[in-house]
Amino acid sequence: MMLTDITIGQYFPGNSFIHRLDPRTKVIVLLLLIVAIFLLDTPWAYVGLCGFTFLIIRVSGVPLNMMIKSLKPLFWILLFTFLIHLFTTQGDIIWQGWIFSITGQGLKQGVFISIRLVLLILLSSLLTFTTSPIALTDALENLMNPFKRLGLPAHELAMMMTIALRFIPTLLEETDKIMKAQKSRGADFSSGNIVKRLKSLIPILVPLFIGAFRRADELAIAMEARCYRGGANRTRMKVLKIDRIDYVAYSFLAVVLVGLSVLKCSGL
Amino acid sequence: MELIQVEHLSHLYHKDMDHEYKALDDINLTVQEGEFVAIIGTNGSGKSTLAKHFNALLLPTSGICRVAGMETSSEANLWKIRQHIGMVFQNPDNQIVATLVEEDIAFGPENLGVPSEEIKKRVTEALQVVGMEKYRKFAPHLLSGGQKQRVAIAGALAMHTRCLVLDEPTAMLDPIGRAEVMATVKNLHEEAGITIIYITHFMEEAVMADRVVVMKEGQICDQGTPTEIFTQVEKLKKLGLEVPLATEVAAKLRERGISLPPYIITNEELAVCLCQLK
Amino acid sequence: MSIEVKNITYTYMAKTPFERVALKNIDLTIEQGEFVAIIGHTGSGKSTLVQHLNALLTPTIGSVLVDGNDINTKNEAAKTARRKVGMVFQYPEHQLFEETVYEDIAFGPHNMGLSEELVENHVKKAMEFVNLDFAEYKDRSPFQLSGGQMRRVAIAGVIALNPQYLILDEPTAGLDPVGRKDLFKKIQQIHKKEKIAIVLVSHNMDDVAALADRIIVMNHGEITIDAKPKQAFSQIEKITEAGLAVPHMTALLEQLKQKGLAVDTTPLTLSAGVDSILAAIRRRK
Repeated sequence: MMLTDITIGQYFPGNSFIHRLDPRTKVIVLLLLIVAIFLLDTPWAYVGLCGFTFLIIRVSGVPLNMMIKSLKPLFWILLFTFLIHLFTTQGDIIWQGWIFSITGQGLKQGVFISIRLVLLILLSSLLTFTTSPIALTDALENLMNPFKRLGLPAHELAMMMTIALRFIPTLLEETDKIMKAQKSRGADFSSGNIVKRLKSLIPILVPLFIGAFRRADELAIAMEARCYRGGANRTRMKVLKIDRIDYVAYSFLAVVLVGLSVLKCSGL
Repeated sequence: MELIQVEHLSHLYHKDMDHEYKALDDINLTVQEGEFVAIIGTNGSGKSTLAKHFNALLLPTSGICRVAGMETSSEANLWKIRQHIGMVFQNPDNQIVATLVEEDIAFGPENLGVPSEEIKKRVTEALQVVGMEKYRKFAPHLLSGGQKQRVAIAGALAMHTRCLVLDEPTAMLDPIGRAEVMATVKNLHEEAGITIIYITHFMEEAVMADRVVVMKEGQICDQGTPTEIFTQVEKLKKLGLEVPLATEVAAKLRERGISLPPYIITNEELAVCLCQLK
Repeated sequence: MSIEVKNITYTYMAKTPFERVALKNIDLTIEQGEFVAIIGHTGSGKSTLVQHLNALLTPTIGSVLVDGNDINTKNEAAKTARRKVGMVFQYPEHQLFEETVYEDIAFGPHNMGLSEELVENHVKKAMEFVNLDFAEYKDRSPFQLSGGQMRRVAIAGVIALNPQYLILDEPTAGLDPVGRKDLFKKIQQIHKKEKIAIVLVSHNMDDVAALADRIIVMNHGEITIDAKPKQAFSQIEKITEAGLAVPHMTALLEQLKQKGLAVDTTPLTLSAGVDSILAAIRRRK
């Protein structure tokens, strides 16, 4: 795989209901859903939540296979957590072999925890798929604003995120080039033991860091030349605005959450 | 009217340290509003250091630099000066801040506290001037080098800058990119009347200017119209600079007994003169 | 002895929505001792092509042979190819990493598994080629040198591999006229003295016009011109179509011709150009 093949931010442009929501709404909804995921622990509540997730994926217009792809990098972690719960939970044994034993409780725990993780990943991916990185940064800056008084550098954090997003593709390209240049000089990154492999990274990391510092230096000068002086007195071209569709989304979410709570309370 | 006045300006890097280095030495220079000045010189001649004084990115160690009457060394003038003088740097990658073209162009006006609606208008205008309307929603890393430099120019224009200082803007571009940037700069100067200070070591770019300033080892060693400067073949070569080919060919032809007028610096001029020969 | 590129096609990000064909059916042979210039604008495929010559990229279709051996068959083949085919990337000084000039240049030879004595030999010779005094510079930090010197250290780091073919991707980018002229002179020397084949990648016709024996123009992932310089530069239409400018001398002579002076437009050097103009003037009289 080439390093430049990785698409960061993985924004999937579109004009669906989900796309058009204010990014702050999406962040808040995601946070609420995450809380819901961890509080719910009855089968029917999970069915409801899965159904809801599936529904909003369909509404967003993001292809299902793209969503499934977002699970792929975390497949091993998923499998690992499932197996850990499967084998280590105490309870009534339903299967036994060699040193392993599976309990009914273990199976239930494993399935539940896997569903939780899958939902978590799917919903967060849906946020990045339907929200451009810049809108997301704006939303986070805006949401962090109330904490400014507590000393949280909201603007600076958002600016750092913007610059990181801006330079990730550039730095990936640079890494690719440096790797190729050192390979041309006979460097070998794929053989030898772990110590040797780590050592072989030095010819990549040193130039990469030096390059990053050089870029940072030049960028700082360019920003100064364009009158950048921190967040004070700064205006924004795009002003975030909570609109009617946001209220619709909040109302719908409230209904869903109440429904799920009812399911949980009735133990289903 | 004078836009930039530089008087007895010197600049030392690492002052009072053992690797102290005098990058600029007693520079005197005036740039008029609406002028197009090219600054040429080899690497290390001090041309970039001088450019950074024009918008107070560097301050004189001694001497004075004034922009529209304001001294750059006074803190109170800093943001006004930087708004007046826009800068475009050599590396197109390292001057784009935002992840979308329109957001990047908005960066300057946002810093100046311009209201949202006004910023949108300025972004649209700036994109039109540099011919990049189509790329408004593009991510910068998907643009070519020439397009990135045009975005950088638009970013300065959106601050309603009166003067554009371009520090070797084409050094990292291919011929298409260079032509794009040159055409944009020329258009800005001619149509919008923006003052241009253009630093380069490509002579065919310096030929566009009204006035050429030649730098060597931190000093201005010559200045004049492109014709006055580029016809001094021997002197430029000694400085390590290129001479336009037409001038060089004309000089050789003169050596071989063809009588040609002294002002030839472009192919066009050479062609016309040769065809008029009896 | 040669590098043979046999009908290669290369697709970036195959089977994704970003799929893009970067090279289409390229056939090319570079003989030992040749001086070839590959010219094209950014994105024309020229850099992608040269990265196939030492197995940094593997063709999607087709094969590349260096001195008769397919270089993409196994890891060993690629390694041998990289020893024979040296590659200098754009802005090579951005790849320096060692504490001393000596160690950085020795990186390649060390990777080849040479004895310390041989390594030193190679480093000395490479530094001599790029005009860096061994005693003076070997223990200096490469990061405290000037831009031009750093570039020469980086190029020496590739020459120290003792390659038979040397590929240089825009080696003079960012240098001033003196630096450019200097470096081209060095490259020419290496070519002549050591009989190393040179593949020079550039977007500047002027740089290569006087140096190369053969010009290859690339556009949209295909070779559109492969000819001797004079024949290549007479195809003005194809060159402009590829987003390139003809050499200054060609442009000047073409303009004279258009204005009615019947000059021969093929010369590429200053003296030949002047002769051609003089001849045309005499003919008219």
